[in-house]
Parts: sequence; structure tokens; C-alpha cells
Amino acid sequence: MRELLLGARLTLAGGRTGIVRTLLTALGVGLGVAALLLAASLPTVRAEQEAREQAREPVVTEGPAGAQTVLVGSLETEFLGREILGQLLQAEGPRPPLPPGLSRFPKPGEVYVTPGLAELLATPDGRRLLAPRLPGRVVGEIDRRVLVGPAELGFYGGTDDLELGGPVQRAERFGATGPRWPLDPALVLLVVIALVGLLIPVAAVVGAAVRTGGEERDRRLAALRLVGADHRMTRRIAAGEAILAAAVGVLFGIALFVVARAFVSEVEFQGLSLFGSDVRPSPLLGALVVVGVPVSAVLVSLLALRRVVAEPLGVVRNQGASRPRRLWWRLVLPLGGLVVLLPTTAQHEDNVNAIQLALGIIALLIGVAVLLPWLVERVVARLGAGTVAWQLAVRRLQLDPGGAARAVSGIAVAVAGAIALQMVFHGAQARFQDDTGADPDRAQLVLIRDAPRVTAGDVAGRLQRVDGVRSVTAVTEYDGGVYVGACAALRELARIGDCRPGDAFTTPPGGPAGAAKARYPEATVVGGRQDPGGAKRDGVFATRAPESDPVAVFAFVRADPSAYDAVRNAAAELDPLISVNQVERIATDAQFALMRRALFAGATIVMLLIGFSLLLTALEQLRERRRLLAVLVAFGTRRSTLSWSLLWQSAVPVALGLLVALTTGIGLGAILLAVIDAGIRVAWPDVLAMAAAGAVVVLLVTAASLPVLFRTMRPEGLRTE
Amino acid sequence: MILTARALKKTYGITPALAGADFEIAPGEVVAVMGPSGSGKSTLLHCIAGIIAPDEGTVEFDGRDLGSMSDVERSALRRSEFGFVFQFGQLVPELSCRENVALPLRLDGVARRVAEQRADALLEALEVGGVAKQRPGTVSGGEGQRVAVARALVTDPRVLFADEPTGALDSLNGERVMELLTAAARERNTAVVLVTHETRVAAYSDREVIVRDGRTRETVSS
Amino acid sequence: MAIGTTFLGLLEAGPRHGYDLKRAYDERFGADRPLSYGQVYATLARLLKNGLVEVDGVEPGSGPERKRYAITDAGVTDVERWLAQPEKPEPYLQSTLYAKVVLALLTGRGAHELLDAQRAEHLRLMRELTARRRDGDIADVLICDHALFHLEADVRWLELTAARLDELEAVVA
Repeated sequence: MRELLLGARLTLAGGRTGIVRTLLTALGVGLGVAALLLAASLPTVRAEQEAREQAREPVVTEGPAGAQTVLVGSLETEFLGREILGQLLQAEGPRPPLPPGLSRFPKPGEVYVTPGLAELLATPDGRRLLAPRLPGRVVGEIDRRVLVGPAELGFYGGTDDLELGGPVQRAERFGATGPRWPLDPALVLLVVIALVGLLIPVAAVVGAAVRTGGEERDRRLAALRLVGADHRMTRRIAAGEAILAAAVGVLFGIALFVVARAFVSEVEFQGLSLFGSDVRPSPLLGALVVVGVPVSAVLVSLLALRRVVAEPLGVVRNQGASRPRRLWWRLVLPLGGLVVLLPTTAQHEDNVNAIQLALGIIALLIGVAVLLPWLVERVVARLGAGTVAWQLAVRRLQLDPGGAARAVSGIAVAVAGAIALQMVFHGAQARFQDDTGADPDRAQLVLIRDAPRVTAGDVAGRLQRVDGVRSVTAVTEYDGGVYVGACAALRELARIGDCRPGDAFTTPPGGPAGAAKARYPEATVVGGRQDPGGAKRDGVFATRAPESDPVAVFAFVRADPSAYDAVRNAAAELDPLISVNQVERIATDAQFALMRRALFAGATIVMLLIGFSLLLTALEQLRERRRLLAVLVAFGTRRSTLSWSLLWQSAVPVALGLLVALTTGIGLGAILLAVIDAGIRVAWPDVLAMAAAGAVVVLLVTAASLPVLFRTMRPEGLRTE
Repeated sequence: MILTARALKKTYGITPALAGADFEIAPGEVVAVMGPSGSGKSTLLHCIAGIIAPDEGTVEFDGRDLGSMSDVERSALRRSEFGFVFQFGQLVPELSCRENVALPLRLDGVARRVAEQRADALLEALEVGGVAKQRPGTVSGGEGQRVAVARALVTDPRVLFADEPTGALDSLNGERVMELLTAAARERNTAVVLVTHETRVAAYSDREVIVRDGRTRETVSS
Repeated sequence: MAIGTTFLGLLEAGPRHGYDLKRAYDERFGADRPLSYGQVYATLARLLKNGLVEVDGVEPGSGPERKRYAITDAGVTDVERWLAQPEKPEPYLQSTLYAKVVLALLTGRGAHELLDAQRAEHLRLMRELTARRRDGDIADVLICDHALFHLEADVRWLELTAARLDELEAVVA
């Protein structure tokens, strides 16, 4: 215990450099801790968001209208690429249930909007292009506290002309209970891979931070040996130093986390927004981070001392240079990972044990970090001398290949994880994206209103008057599969040649629409055809309406992109519940899309984090070599030579790291694709983009450390310390 | 005179390091710069070697004004015309001794093979040919300083700047380094600016300049 | 005294003629000032009188240069004692220089200049010794080193004194 305290004191007593070093370490640890706390908050965030989302869900009843029932018409529109959800509310009795976030029930023509929507409406574009779409005038805002995220866009509109059917349902209250539909198992796998792939680099960052200033520390320990400390004492002293730095780092991390939390509500990334108040680490995970990080810090620094024996008269790198790193035990982790992972590929994905999968991935990815020092050492030892800059870099790497490898292991693991993820996403895409069969050339917008209150003619007539609309074809669907419209409109639905008003056509007899077909015996039999929205209709296509109620109206619109908002507004004017969808060849599952965006957000944070960590390492190294740099400058070394040397020095290990990352990432990706039974395909552009992102981070770090290099190169460094 | 400095002034923050120092040295001459610690010896050396720019005053090398040269030009000058030996920590730890010595030549664009041959010859001359392949960390202090001297002389500089070259050595090694340094310099007609606080080291000079409170004064030897 | 004991040391290896003794002495110790024959024979006569040497034999002919000298038991004891006895640390120049500095301060003359001049003189001698040391053999090196170290000590004293002149002036004046 005494030695632990001594170690802690020594760290602080080291004067300015000691404190700077501790702060650098603490900063690295802090960044990692903040990221870990953020990750530890994800369960809470998800639980809170889900709870609020459910709380405003209308609970639908099949019963009759009553004093406490309300008609709810749900709609969805889009503005500037962002989704806006709306609910039209119509009280059926004197005491309608109040949806959460409203202080009173909206009267017909009154609209309550989310703060985000209010802000959007206040912009010139919003006023011009979005406001006309709202079913009334804005009288107030919805309480932020019921929103899923602070930037969410949505509104409640009061009305009095809803009729049950189609998008309109009867609700007896708001606030659903019970489970929501569960995540697809493949999505669960993706979450596991994503979290592991993102968190291991964070661990690598923390590990690298703890080892900051190792050389100086070794010298200090040697001095302690000189005054009589034995090996065990020096070890405890080193542990004390590590604990102090890690503890300060944890405090840093908590502070950083709290600050980030305060700003989180202000940030919107890829349409995702979060309430700071939701970002609370789950108690267990949070405690794990706060306790686990200092403990691991101590373990890492003790592990680092393994190769170093501090002797009274200096530091001996224990068998460091003489004994090359051994390969076999470095292979244990990645091979173990493979052993754990491979059986899972044979299982059905629903049965795959997420923990087994996570362990396998962790082992494999950590294996990258473990294997890298060996590889760097082997490769670097074979590099010859080229230019002076190259020579300086290579010799430096030869002297300390482990340090170089450690510095880039974080980025290698991150890139390996990212590549695997990218592959899995690509492979899984087929499952979460449907080829809609839609043809954006034939129409760009599809309008649909179930249980229509407007006629196809009204819709077509109204939309045709919108500027920028080139053509509108509208069809009414009647019960049982009868589609009625003008010849031009019918041709979008079936392979119809000659057509005159009064004609009727049908797809071959039988099928679900058999009854309707039988009612049109004179109809010409034609082949079916996918409509511009990708749907294939089976039934009767007639130019004259039957004697029954229409079940749906839809219209296909060809228009310039600039006219889309006007089309939406015109449709909303006719009936706010007409849904207007853009025709896309590929439709992506919403959860999948959300997760992909979250992954990008996470990957961005991790890459930034790693960049910071690399920068800290680079600065620390420059600080340790200040005097040497000054000497080199004194005898006329060009700045460019030193800059290039700095670049090579990081580029070589990074290139090796990326090589390992590519191999591991693609291998891991292939295994995971096999787990979810998707075909193995390598999307080279994406893989290379990931590798390039890693390389760019390194370049940026080098660029960012150049000013410090130039400052370090000043002759003040020559002054004896 | 190969190098002439007039009325040099240099202030670090509010601490005046040089307050009107003069200096000159002839080709092949060995001049000792002496004075108590903190007197401005090293600052004087840094100024006349073109490592730092004085606040006031002029430095001329071979008729060229260092003050009017760009940083790049001054670097090139230091690379080819000057050599440097410091007290410690000057050898690049990851390069072998041979590579360290060859470094200034290589910086000047000499091919590696040629540079390393010349490095070997010079290491031999300085009686440290045996450590050519070793890293500086594995050689003794005296050997290290001789390697540093070899590196300073490998470009056949016109002026060699030595800042306490024996400061970290015992007297036996210090003497040997000084003997080899001055002998090699005389052989090449290289002028040596020798900053030291040891009189024994200064005795290797032809002349001494004393720096006191940022000013120089020449002692008249009878 | 020192010359005598040195002779005794040289004789311990075996009897020698006076001429031999002088040559051996000059070669090893007398680089600065070769001994005169007068000095040699006066010293030998003193040693003879004190019973530290004896005449070992006389060559045919006459004159002191024909005599061969050998060391006596008492002489050996004397050499042993001399070698065992540390030299008394001599104050060298300090006393004289101190007096000069004090006088300079008292009379208002520049003590700095005095010290600088002395320093320059010391350094001049050190340069000479360094040069001789460079060209000489191991014996020269050792002898010059001894002188150089002493001179260096003087120079240090000169430097320290220069640094403390103000202090000294306050006490003296």
C-alpha cells in the first residue's frame, strides 16, 4: 500500500513533465471511459425511448363509439428527406382520451406540433412548402418530454370529418403495453457485432493511453531501484502510478460524459436525436466501466513491465531485443475465436448463442491486436534503408516494434470490425431490403388512400394542376379486385393494348379475385403487369365503375423532384390521410436502416477517438525526443525529412495493421455471413473505403502533429535540462 | 576570418542571454568559449551557428550574412559547412553508429554506400571503427562522443561547433576525445568553436573568449 | 632532498656511475630542468656523508666520474620511508596571489584584471603542456597531466576568487 501511494506521489512529484504525462494518459483513458459510458447507456436509451413511444400509441378498440373513444388517423409525410408523423384526432364523445404531450384535446382545425417541427415551420422553406400540408393552424407545441428524441418531427391535428376505416382507427386510450415486435435475430447479431467491433478499439485506446510515457517511467523506476527498492516494490509503485492516472482518467471520462450528455440533445446525426436525460449508464455496466478501467489499467502496466527489468543502473529490456516475439501464443486468441465461431455457422441463426458469438468475435478481434506486434517486428526487421527519412523511421520501428504496433492496434481492430460489419450489412441487406420491382421511370410518386373519401378523378384533376407535374394516372379499387380508371391509367396495371371507354380487361380467371372476374365475362383476358410502385395486380381492369363502394384510390404521378412537396400539399389539401410515397427501387427495413445509421454514428465516434489517441501517442513521443530533434535540426536536417520520417513511422505499422485488419475483417465477415446464412460476397469498394478511412485517420494525425514537431524542432530543445 | 559576429543580443522572455557579444574565428583556429554557467555561452554558440537568430547584431560566415538567409538556406549551411558535437543525447538511438555518422552526408544527398564508407573511414580514424554496427545505446560514453565527433566531421565542415563535448566524460576519455577532435580538425583545417567550462579542455584551444553576463571579452595572453 | 631520494631509488636497481645517474634522472624526471653536474655530485656527496650510499668501486683513472655508487641499507630504508610518506600539500600560488588581490583591492587597482592576467598566463602554460603532452610519450603525458591538474586547480581558484571579489572587497575595505 505504501508503495502504491509512493507511486501515485511520484507521478505528481515529477514536476511539469510528470503532470503533463499523467494528464495525457488520463485524457486517453478519459476518452475511452466516456465512450464506454456512452455504450453502457445504450440499454437505458433504448428502454426509455421505447417506453415513450409506446405511451403515445393509441390502443385500438373494435367496439362502438362511446363517450371516451376517439378516432385516430395516422399519417406520414416527408419533408427535406425527414420523416414527419402525424395523427388526426376526432373526439367521438365528451371525454376523449388525451394523447400524451397535449394539455387539452385539439378542436377541429387546431394543430399541435413538436418543437422540432415548429422550428422547421419557422424557416422560409417550411412556411412555404410544409405549412400548407398541416390540417389546420398551429396552436401549440407538444411537450418535449413525450418525444422519442428532441428533434423528432410530428403533430397532432384536431378534426371532425374522420370516418372509421383505412388509416382511421378507433382508440379507447393512449399508451400500449406489452412487448413490441422483437428484433430480427439477424439484427441482434448485427448489434452484437457492432458493439463488440466498436468497443474493442476503445479498450485498445485505453490500453495505449495507460502505456503513455513508458520510457520515462522505466527510468524513474531504475532510480528507485538505486535507492533500494526491490523488484516487487517497483512493480507496486508502477501500479500506483497507473492507478492514479487511470483514476484521474475515469474522472475525466465521467466529466466528459456529463458534458457530452448536456450537448447530446443539441446534436442531430443522420436523423437520430437523443435526449441527454435518456443517456444514463445502466448501473451494472456503468459500475463495470468505472471499476474495470482502473483495474485493467494496472494489469496492463504490470504486463508492460514484464519485459522490462528496472535495474539500479538503468533499464534492461528483458530479452527484449534478443528474443524475438513468439508466434504460437499470439495465435491462440484468433484461433480460439475461430474455433468458437465456426460451429455457429452450421446452426440456424435463431439458435445461435449471442454470447458465444460475441466471445468468438472478441477473441478474433483481440487476436488482431495481439498478432500485430509479432507481425510488425518480423516485417520491420526485414526492411532495408532507403532515403534518410525512411531509414530514420525504419530504424525507429526496429528498435521498438511493440510500441508502434500498440499504437495502431486500435485502428486495426476498428477497421477489422468495421469491415466485418460492413460485409454483414451488405449480406444482410438482401434480407432487409426488398427489391420492390418499382420503376421510378414510369412514376416518381405513388398516392394511396384506403377507404377513400375522394374520387380518383378528383385526385387526378387536382394534382394535374400542380406545377411540375407531367402526368397523373389515377385508379379506384373496388371490393374484390376491380380496378377502375381511364385507359391510360389501366395500362399502368396490366398489359392492355387497344382500349376504349367502356372496355373491361381481366387477368386470367381464378385466383383470389375469381369472383369479380366471373362478373365480367365479356372482359378481354390480358397479362398482368407491375405498376410503377412495384405491385402486381390480379383482377379486373375496367373503365366503368361497379355498383359498390371503393376500397382504395391510388394515383401514379410523374413530376419533377422540385414539385414533390407541392404534390404532397395538394394531396393533403384533398385529404390529409392520403399517403404520398416516393417510388424507390429498393425499400429498406426501417429498423435495419436505423441500425445502419446508428452504426455509422458509432463508427465515427470510435474513429475520432482512435485518432485522438494516436495523436496523444504521437505528441508524447515527440515530447520524449525533443532534445534529439533539436540536435538533428542543429546539424541541418530539413523539416521535410523529419516530417516524412514521422509519416513513414506511422504509415508502415498502419499499413501492416490494415493488412491484418483486411484479412481478419473479411474472414470474420465471411463467417458471420455464414451465420446468418447469407451468401458470402466481399464488397471491395466498401472494404477499401474502410481501410482508407483508417489510413486517412493516420494521415490526419500525422498532419496534426506536424505543428508540434516544428515547435519541438526549435533550438530551445538543445538547452540542457 | 571565416566566421564573424558583432554586437549580438538575444533575450529569452525577460532574461537577457546575450548583451552585446562579439566573436570571430579564423580558418583552422580552435577558440575556446568559456564562462560560468548561465553566462550565455551556449546561446552565443547557437547564434553564431545559425541555429537561432539573434535579436540584434550580425553574424557573417565566409562573407555571407546569416541574418539575411532563409531558414532553409541556414539549414543547408549547417548541413554542409558546419559540424556539431554536443554534450550528450545527440546520436539517434535507433540508428547504428555508422548510420549516425553517415547521416549528415545522406541529408546532403550522398548515396548511402558512399556515405557509409566515409563514415567507416572516419570512425576508424577516431579509433571507434569497432562500434560501427552497434547502436549508440550499447557503446560507452567516450565511444559515443567519438562517434559524435566523427559525425560532425564527416562532411569536412569549415567550422565545428562543440558544446561541452567532454562534459559527460571522465578525464581520460575526455582527453582522448579532445585530442582526436583537435587533431582531426587541424588535419582538415576546420575551425573549432569549443564551448566549455573546463580549463583543461580549453587548453586545447589556440585562444579563448570569456563570456560573462552576456558579453564577451578576449583575454590577452602574454 | 627530492633529487637525493630519487637517486637512491635509481640506485636500488643496481650500482651506477654518477654520469649514468644524471642521464637516468634527466630522462625520466628532468624534462623541465636537466640537472647540472655540480648538483649531481653535491647530492651524491651529501648521500655519501649521510651513509645512504657507498662507493662500490673505482675505475682506473681519476676524478669523481670514475666512481660507482651503490645504495646502503640505510638508503633503502630512506627510500621506503619517502615512498610511504604522503607529500605535504603545498599551498602553491595562493598565498602570493591572495596577497596580490588583497593589495589590489586595498589600493583600488583592478583585481579582476589581475586575476584575468594570471588566468591567461596559466592557460598559456596549460596550452604548452597540452601541446607537449600531445607529442610526447606516456612519461611526458603523466608528467604534463600532473602539472595540468595543478594549474587547473589554480585556475578554478582564480575563477572562484573572481566570482567572490565583491564579497572579499566588502571584508577588506
